[in-house]
Amino acid sequence: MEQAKAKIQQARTMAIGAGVVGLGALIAGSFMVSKEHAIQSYHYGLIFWLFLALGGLGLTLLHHTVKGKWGLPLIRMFESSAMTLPLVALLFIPILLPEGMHALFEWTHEEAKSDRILQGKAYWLNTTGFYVRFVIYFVIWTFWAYMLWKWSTEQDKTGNPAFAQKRVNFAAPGIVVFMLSATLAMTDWLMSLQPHWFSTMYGVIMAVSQVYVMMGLAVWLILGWRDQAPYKGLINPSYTRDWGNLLFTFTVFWTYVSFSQMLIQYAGNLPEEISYYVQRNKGSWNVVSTAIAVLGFFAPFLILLSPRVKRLPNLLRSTIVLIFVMRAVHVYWEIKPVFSESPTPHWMDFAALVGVGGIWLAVFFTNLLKRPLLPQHEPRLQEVAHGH
Amino acid sequence: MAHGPIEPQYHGVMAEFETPEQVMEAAEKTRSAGYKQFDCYSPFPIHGLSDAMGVEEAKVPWAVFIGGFIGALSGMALQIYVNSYDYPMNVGGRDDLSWPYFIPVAFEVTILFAAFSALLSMLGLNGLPRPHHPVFNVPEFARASTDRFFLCIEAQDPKFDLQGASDFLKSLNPLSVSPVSND
Amino acid sequence: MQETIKPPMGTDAPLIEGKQNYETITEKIGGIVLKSPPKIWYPLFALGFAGTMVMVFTICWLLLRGIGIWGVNQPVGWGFDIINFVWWIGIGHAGTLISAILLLLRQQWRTSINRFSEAMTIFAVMCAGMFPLLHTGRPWLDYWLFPLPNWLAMWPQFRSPLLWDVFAVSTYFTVSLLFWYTGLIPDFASLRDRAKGKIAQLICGTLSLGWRGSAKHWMRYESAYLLLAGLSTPLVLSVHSVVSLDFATSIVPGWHVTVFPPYFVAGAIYAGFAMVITLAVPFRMIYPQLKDYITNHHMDMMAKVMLATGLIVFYGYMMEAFYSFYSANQFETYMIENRFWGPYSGTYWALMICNGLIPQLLWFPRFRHNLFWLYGVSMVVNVGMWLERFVIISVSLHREYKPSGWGFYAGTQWDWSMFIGTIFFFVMMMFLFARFMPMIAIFEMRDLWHRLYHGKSGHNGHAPAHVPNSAEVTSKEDA
Repeated sequence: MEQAKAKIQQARTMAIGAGVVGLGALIAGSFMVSKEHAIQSYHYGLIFWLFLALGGLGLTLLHHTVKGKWGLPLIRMFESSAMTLPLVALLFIPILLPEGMHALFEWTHEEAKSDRILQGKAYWLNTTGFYVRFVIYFVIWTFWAYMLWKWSTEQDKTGNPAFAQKRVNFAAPGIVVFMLSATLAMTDWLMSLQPHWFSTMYGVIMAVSQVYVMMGLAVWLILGWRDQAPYKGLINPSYTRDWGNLLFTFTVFWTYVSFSQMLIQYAGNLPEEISYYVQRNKGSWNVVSTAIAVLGFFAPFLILLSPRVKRLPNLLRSTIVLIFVMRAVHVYWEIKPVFSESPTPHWMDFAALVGVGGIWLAVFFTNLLKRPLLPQHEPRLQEVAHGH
Repeated sequence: MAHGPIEPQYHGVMAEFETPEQVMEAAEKTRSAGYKQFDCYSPFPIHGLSDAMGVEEAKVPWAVFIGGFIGALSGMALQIYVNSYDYPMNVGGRDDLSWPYFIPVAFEVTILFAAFSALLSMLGLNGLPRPHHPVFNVPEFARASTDRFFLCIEAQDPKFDLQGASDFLKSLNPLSVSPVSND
Repeated sequence: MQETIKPPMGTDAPLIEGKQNYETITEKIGGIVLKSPPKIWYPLFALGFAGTMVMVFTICWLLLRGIGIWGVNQPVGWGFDIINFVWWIGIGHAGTLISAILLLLRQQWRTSINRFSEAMTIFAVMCAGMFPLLHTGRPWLDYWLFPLPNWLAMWPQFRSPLLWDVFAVSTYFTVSLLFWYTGLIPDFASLRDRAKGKIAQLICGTLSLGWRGSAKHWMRYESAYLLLAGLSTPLVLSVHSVVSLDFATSIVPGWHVTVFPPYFVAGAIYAGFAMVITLAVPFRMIYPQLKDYITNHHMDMMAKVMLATGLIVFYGYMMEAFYSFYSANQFETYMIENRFWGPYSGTYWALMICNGLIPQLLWFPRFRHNLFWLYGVSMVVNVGMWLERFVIISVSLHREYKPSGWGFYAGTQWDWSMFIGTIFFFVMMMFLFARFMPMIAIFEMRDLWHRLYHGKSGHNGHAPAHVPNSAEVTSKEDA
């Protein structure tokens, strides 16, 4: 009945294949190259796909709170993405092992004990606290993702509109919880890679990056399936315009918060802070920084400014490919300068990206296949589908 | 200018309607009847009316884009000239060309120029300000800014003749039809 | 409808109440301008005028004696002047948000309150602008702020955020004025056609630029109006971001905070919506005809926006505190401890109660739908946002690095008279606006009324029994 599901099944098979190959290569690399290197690459791949999962949760909460029409065709994807969070928690295990922690976090090293600043931070940056918080974050996120998933499913089955209000009441405070927990989680897993550095904007930048990349993926997928039921006849220019505008807004907002952080730390020029930017503009890293500014901001900004692009699905999809690639580069730029003087990626970085991505997508597609692809009892959606 | 049977004392003929739907329908019919020089008047913008009239134009967005672009360039150029070239000063060891510092003002100037371009291009293309216009000579037109909708076939239209246009407009079931005199 | 005991509340309430048609909309809103004002207008205007004289007197005294009459000192060089500047400019932001961002989001509840809040923006920016201009100490030399070629070959320093402020605030004022005026053009045309007196006709006719409602004109007009909205949106974000950079680009602990730009913007919108409610409730009483257009629906939506932005602000407070500890930097840590337990801890905790705690009442519909409570919360937020700027600006300065350079700060009576004077000035300007300009965008109201009731349920000139809520209406229109 839903032709798109056949496509999704195909895509899932491919994703599983990619996941097995990628992770296999990474495991081989951990023996052939070095375990330390492999875990660093793995961390990068995992964080990137974590962004999609958290973006899914963020967008689910956002959609259920503001109830915008633009989210209706996409909401099942957001929910399915949020429901991959338990998987991401499992995938975190190699990082949580002592070897993983040692390879990634300077503050776990013996030398940290003689560092005055790190000593001052020890009450937060210590292994026990890190583990406890890890559990708390994932329990909170999974709880919110699961409840919203459940109420959506039940509404699909029973058609009881009371679930819609239930979701609103639950999702709105969820945004508060999500922002706080995601900020602290990003502090733990990303900011503490360079443990002296800190920035209060960081959580915001990361949260925006997450919803931005997930929005891109969801729109790219749905436009790819636009000729299949149940999407067929549903995707009209008013949707693509709204989605294009949202991606445009995220592009601009991401740039706004990133530039603000950079300008403030550049102006302050305090040693603890500016080290972050010095590291990312040394040598060839400068090329990556410039690329992020040009291809990560100016290009999508100028392209999405045009109303034409937002009417033509294929053009929009190509733009999203650019956005998606630049999001991966951005995460790379956040993480890798800590470990490497040179921005040239190792083959294991790609293996990790593909490997974790394959597994993540497989679970994402599985979640998507579990239910109808569109909300079943949604008058606003019906109206559009049958109105034309 | 191509003239039809010219009636110099007339700007055109105007029909009065009660609802936006009626004037929209009238515009479609006028267009399919072959009239090109006609305009509608309404107390608020009617969605789709310009399509019904067959008018399409996107000059204002381009004016804004160009205005904004000039603003961005001149904002940046001003700052670079002033603080990096004409009177360079070492501020906390930053480069003379410390571009991150110049972004905020360049941005503000961009917006300023673009906003002026939006308003001025709109007024310029509309031929405003123009305190008087022949359509104001029609007494019924006083309600065009409250609750009446008008369609005026203009004398410049090659197909125009006073009688023919009046008859045509009467066939559209208006509330009234009146000639629009030029003085 | 008269028998209904309980009127619909919240978003169930319609966007336009009562029996309306194009004529009644035009008459009710435009009539306020063309007829003589209600009796109560005169004493209220007189009150505003009297208060403005307090401000004028303060300014005169300031010009005679210099800024020594203020409480600012070393180390607290920024006191009431900058606090009030930030407070006022923040209040202005809600106007732009309502008129621009909500237009882009196609939110129909915007239409009734945009004109009103745009006016608020302009007057608030006027109040704000006075403070830094006077704070320069020699306001007659303020033109030095602009990059004018001169024989000393001296230029302003574009690496200073204070100069960014000059550009940001003056651009903001100019663009807000353009946007406001653009919206007013068709309404002045309506007034021109309805005015009975020669002078009113002449003034309205001139200001309407000869607008005649041509469809070709409307097409370009809508395009320009939407573009101005699109330009105002990043502008409004940039203005308060630039204001926040006045602090954040320094290295004063408590000022040098990277999250400041979005957090200041959210705070500005928060304060602005509080002020819109603070003004809209009494204006609805003075002009009962406005109740048809500023309904409970609008109050509910504004309360929700206040809640959302309030939470963002509160997120900012928490981030400031958390990262001060996380940084393990003794100055950062001391800054937050000083806020918690230092000599000004009272203001800090009052701020937490005003901005963090009390607005949480808005989660509950019963408080959002009760005008008394809603008004109370908006007043509390007005105070809270002022306290926030006091805590950020003066409390951070009074103890920064070396204890030998610590000090105290309190406003003098001149600080207070200037501050209160600007409030009266603002009120006076709002009353002048209400008297001489249509308080609600008439043409947009006609358009909204047409969209809500005409297209679907015939055009009998009456609101249908079932009034669709905004979500339904939006979907219909988009479909």
